[in-house]
Amino acid sequence: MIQSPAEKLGNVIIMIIIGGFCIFCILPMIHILALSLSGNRAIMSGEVGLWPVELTFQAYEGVLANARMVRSLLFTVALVIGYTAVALVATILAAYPLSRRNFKGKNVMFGLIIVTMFFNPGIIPHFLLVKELHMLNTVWSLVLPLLISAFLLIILKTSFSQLPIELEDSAWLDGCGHVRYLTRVVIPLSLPVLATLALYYAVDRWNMFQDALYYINDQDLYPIQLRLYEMVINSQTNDATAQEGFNSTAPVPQSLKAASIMFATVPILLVYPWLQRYFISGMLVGAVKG
Amino acid sequence: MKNEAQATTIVIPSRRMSYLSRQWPLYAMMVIPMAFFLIFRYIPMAGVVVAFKNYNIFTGIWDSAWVGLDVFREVFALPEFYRALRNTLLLNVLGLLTFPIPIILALLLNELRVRWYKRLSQTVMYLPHFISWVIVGGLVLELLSTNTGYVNEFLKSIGLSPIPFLEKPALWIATYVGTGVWHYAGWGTILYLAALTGINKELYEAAEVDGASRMRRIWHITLPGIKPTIIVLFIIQIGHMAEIGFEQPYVLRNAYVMEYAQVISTYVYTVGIRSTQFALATAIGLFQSLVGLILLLSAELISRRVNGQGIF
Amino acid sequence: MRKFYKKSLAVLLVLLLASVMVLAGCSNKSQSSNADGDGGNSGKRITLTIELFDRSNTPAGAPPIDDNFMTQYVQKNFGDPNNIDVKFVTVPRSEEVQKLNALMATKSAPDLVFTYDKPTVQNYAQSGGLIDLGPYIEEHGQQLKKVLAPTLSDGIFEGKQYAIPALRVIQAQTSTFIRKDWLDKLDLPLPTTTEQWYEAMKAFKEQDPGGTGGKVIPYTQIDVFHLKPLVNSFWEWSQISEEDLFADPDGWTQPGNKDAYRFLNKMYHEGLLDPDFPLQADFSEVFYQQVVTGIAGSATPNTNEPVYNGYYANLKQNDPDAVLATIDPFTTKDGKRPKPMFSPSGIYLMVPVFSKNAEAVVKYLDWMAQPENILTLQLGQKGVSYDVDEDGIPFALTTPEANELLYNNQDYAMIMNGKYLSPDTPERNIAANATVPEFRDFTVESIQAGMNDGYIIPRVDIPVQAEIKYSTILSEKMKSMLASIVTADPADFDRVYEEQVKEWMDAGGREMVDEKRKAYQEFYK
Repeated sequence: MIQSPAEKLGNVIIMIIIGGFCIFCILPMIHILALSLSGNRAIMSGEVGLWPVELTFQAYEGVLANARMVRSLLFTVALVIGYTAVALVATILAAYPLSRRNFKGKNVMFGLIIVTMFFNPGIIPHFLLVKELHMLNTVWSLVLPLLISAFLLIILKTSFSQLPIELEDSAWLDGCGHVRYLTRVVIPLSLPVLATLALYYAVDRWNMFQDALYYINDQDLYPIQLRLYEMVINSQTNDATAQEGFNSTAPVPQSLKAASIMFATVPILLVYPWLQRYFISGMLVGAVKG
Repeated sequence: MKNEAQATTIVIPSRRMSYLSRQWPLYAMMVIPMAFFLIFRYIPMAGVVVAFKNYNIFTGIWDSAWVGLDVFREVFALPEFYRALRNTLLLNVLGLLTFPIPIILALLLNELRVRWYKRLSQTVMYLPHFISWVIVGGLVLELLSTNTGYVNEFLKSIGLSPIPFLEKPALWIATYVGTGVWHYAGWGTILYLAALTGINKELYEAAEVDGASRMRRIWHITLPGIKPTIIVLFIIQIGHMAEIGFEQPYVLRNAYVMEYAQVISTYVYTVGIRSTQFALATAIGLFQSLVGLILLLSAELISRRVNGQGIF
Repeated sequence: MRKFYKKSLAVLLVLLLASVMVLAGCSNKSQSSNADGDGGNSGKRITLTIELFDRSNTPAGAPPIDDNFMTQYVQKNFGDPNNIDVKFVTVPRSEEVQKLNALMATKSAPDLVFTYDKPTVQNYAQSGGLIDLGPYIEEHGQQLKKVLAPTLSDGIFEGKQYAIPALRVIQAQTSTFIRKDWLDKLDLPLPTTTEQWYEAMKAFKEQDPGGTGGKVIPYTQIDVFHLKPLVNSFWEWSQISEEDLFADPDGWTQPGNKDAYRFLNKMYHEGLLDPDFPLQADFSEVFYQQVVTGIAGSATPNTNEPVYNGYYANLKQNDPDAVLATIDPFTTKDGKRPKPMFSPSGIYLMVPVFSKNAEAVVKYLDWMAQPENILTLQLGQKGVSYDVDEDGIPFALTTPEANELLYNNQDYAMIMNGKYLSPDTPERNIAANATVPEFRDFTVESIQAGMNDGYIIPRVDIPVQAEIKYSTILSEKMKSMLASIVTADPADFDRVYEEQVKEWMDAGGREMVDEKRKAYQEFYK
């Protein structure tokens, strides 16, 4: 494609805007990285900006040597992989039927689902339910209650319903039933959206710890973000620890906190680059023609 | 006559049969999802009945005494409630103004030809989403404190006077919205980018042949291509106008701006959870839900009129 | 068509299988460890569940908090002889109130729970959520009664012993310090009056003895809690009765309060306070960063906090000449130095009404009240994690092995807030709390200052509904009141102060004060 000079200038401007926004986004991360590699004295004095001062790997050694942290990380990875797979399947199972034109009852079902987006009765009823189902302190309490996100379901349904009707019709004429059509045509054509959903589910599960806070007692089942949150929060004295007075312990050093943040964040960052291969366009063209 | 009657009775059952014989897998597929929503969403929803009771956590949800609308009366009589509601709406409406930003970013990214630059910037842009608000709060303080924040120290060093980002309500609100954009924009572009890949390449090629400029291409092909996604996301955001996350307002607020920083979620936290007044918290939540539903339905109806499409 | 049906059948079967697996997973994988006391079935052996704070600060290599030297000691010396399985249920420290509420509401709470939040305790008591432990203490808790004699009465609600308050060994709340090395540089004495202290603050600002290049903050940690000694020194104590003190401990209706804030307002505008104090959350890290980097001149933190939070040591690392000295300068007209102290009651221990093991709980606490058990639970193993000095006072070692045993030592001996040796040696109990030998003098002086002329808010057993309802809201409001009043333009001070107090009254303050007065009169009639 040959671009006019105006377009080329436009490209440069776009790159600058995007680049600027990127810098805006990455600076805090760089700062945290710098903190994680700096000596504590320098951190306390506020000397650490975007570059480590008094370079040391002590904080990372501390994190990696902490078997509990590492175990938590591995557990969280396994949890997220399992959860994303199950959630994705369940969402597809719901989005596909709801996106078909001639599906009686779909508006009722869809309406029921949308209503759930709004009514949240708080932790107590959910806790009771999880308890009654004997899921307390198990992995299932972190998977089943979040199986399908109504929001993501809407996105997927919208995407599915945008596929040309001719595709479905021709598939039906070829003797292809719903299941085949779904697996052979719809899913391959929807890879970008599915990859997005997978990313959103994975990240949400990775970042969320509020449910584990209530449902989990077993230290081995603590998601990494819960550990991290506790570490950060517990290092701040508050009116409760003032009550404890003599019973407080020294706060966690800033560098250790920063290293833990990096430790808890980097793994999930790697997911998107890996998923980017699914963001390919143009597959639709072939399908219609074929 | 008899033959005709016979003919009709034969046709109708087979029409029904052919609907079901074609569509039954759809119903089978819906079993697990509907079971999920029924069990994990509707059963706990029964807990909202707490909003109508004098809830005693030991007597339990069902056995606590019924008080009808008394809890709601109490909620609406609370002095700070209206302020919390006002602040919630204010912050959300301003947040709505930032709705186009992920779209614009996605469009810009889509125009990039240099592949590695595009990929790299996509990854970098979504980084902020991963930093929890607890950390962000600390960073914001380090950066924007009036007297000791990096930004203001820099301003002072070049002779300008410091900007009280976190002190003056108007500036604080701007900071709030700004950090919201920073935290979310890159993340939001991912969805639009996915939608962009679904646009038929042939349309672009045809437009080029016709000599359409970049702006016209974007206006006539790209934007319409992601219009359904935009509409759906916009409607959903309207539906959430009465709700607001807890963490961002909680970590960004300070003693200067409580007048504007107290939102429904932080208010419920103070009143409901720590003071163990669950009924109050549930009632407020119920109120938010109803408002949200009404907003959603209104947005949906308006969208149908204007755009011919909505969520349903 | 046939192929179609076969395929769909396969799909159905898969779906069915999936659902079965899911449901099977639900029911079989139950490892609910917060069972309520129906553990082993062998004979009368019962499972006793105890709440345990998790501070997420387990050092690398250390055993988990629910299975280590302390817990094994408990099992061996209390559990086994009594045919009881002791199980510790961890609760994240920072969310303890929320999680406790949820556990109580869903009948999942352990047999022994605790919280510092008195309104929560009162709420549980009046909702019928706690077991009356009185009879059990009579039968099984004689040692407990002896050790906790000063506090047991504070756990009585509606005439029943619904809670057992722990013993707070150190009642001092806050103590003021000042950079003595700076005073020495300026040839100033340690301030003993508010005037002298004010002069010292001005000198710090104008002459910058710490060489901070203008960044010096003479007086920092500005929040309602830590300002109490200063504010209290302005009150007209001759006009304040016990009832007044109980009804309004924060002082918005006390005579003289306005003058205190006028003084603070003046100090703020003279640059003697931390200019960004309203931006920080209370008790934030910013304070000790200021201390450690040598910017702070004086402050009134929690008693002995510079030692036990480690920032005095950090300061000395950065600046070996730095010296923090304890002072008690805030004097009233009569030369007194009133300041609030903690009541002898610390954390409130409770047994939920749905527990079946109240007797076992009391037996456990009674066992815990034996001096040798307190010692072990607080200090671990002799020679490994603690040793005894010439005076016979035990002190913790600072080796890594010791740290592995002791990093959360305060969470096992729950009947104690602070190190405790025995009921018969109060002075030695205080000395035992000077955990860092290098700063022992500072610790002791800090405690003395914090108790000097200290007062305890009178105890009233009647729960005040308005307090339960408004206390959190009002304490949040006080933060913005402080900010508005102290930073207000001096010309507007009177107006702003009156406005803010009126807002506080309207937001529930008036109701709370009135109800508290009535409760006090009712209780002490």
